Amino acid sequence: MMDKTYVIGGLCLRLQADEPVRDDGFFPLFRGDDALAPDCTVRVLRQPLPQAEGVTALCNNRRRRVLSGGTIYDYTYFPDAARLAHVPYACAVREGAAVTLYVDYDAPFWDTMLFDALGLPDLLIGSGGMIVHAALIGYGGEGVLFAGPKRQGKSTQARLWQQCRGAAVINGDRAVLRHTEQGFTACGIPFCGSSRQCLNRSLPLRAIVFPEKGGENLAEPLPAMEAFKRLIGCVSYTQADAAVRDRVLAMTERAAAGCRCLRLVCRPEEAAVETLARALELL
Amino acid sequence: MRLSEDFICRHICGETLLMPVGEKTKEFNGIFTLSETGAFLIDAVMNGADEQAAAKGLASEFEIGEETALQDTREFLDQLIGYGILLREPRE
Repeated sequence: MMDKTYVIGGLCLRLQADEPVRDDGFFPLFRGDDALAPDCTVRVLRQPLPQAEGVTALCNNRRRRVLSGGTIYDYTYFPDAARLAHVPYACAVREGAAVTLYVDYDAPFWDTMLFDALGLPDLLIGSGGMIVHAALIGYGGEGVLFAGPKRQGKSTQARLWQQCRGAAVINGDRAVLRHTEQGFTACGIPFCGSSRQCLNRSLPLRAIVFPEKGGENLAEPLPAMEAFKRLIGCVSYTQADAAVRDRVLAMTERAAAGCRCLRLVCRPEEAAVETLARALELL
Repeated sequence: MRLSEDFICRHICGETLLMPVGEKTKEFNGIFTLSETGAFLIDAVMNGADEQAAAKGLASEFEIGEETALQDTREFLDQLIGYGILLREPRE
């Protein structure tokens, strides 16, 4: 039996399958010691998908969630060009911390395919972490998250910090934000969009920065409510699941109130780095 | 009158927010922050008060005339009904 352990954003996950799972993308960077006690064990089975009956909590072209008793069935679809339809290829069945992942797809298993079907964002939320759409840099032993909607300069500012200050871009697109007894931590994650920038590092969080493209460079602290509104829009989770949603709201509120949050009006230039650096020093 | 299933009301960071959920987020790309009086009225409606009762409570809580309170309540609730946040029918 194939047995692989991963540690992603503080979540220790063990994948067990009767056939090999191909190393893929940046997942090998996140392999953990097989001796670790997993938070979640996933049994992967190549079998026809279970036909769940219950309440449909979510249904779109990519996902369908069915709630049946205390069991959650998450179906993942792919666009089948030949049939001109979206066809389910996997179903993750969750009962407490145990997950059975049924895969009905005629191809070898690989990491990205299985993790996509697992619903990693919700699994992380269950363990106290959340995936934030943000570029994460490491500088001076601390992490800085550049969060916000697309095309506001997250990746550009991260890259400028790398070029001008020698910061490490830990992830160019996504990161896990987690609250621990020591405070807030930002962690790398194997998904990094088209940035192709991915490191497996976890750092205490210095600040969450929300860049906005503008005609000047200006950094100012954000009140908790404004930070909450901006941050909640950056979190990946299944909104249709009330329990997940409530947890995300609580975690986001805690982060907005407990983290240093800044608004950065910026231009794509070194002066923006200087402006933010000064603001970070004052925090 | 009741809150639509497409919205949730939460007290966050010391403020009262109305947030779209599920499919509604595609239509409403934002969060409503309520004023103190708006928060009072939403709480009243969610606790089963009708327009008259909510206005009466508003008048008493914020020490304003009942007529003004009724007019403000009506205006506020009609606005939320217009957005589809409040529904006129009772919960089943």
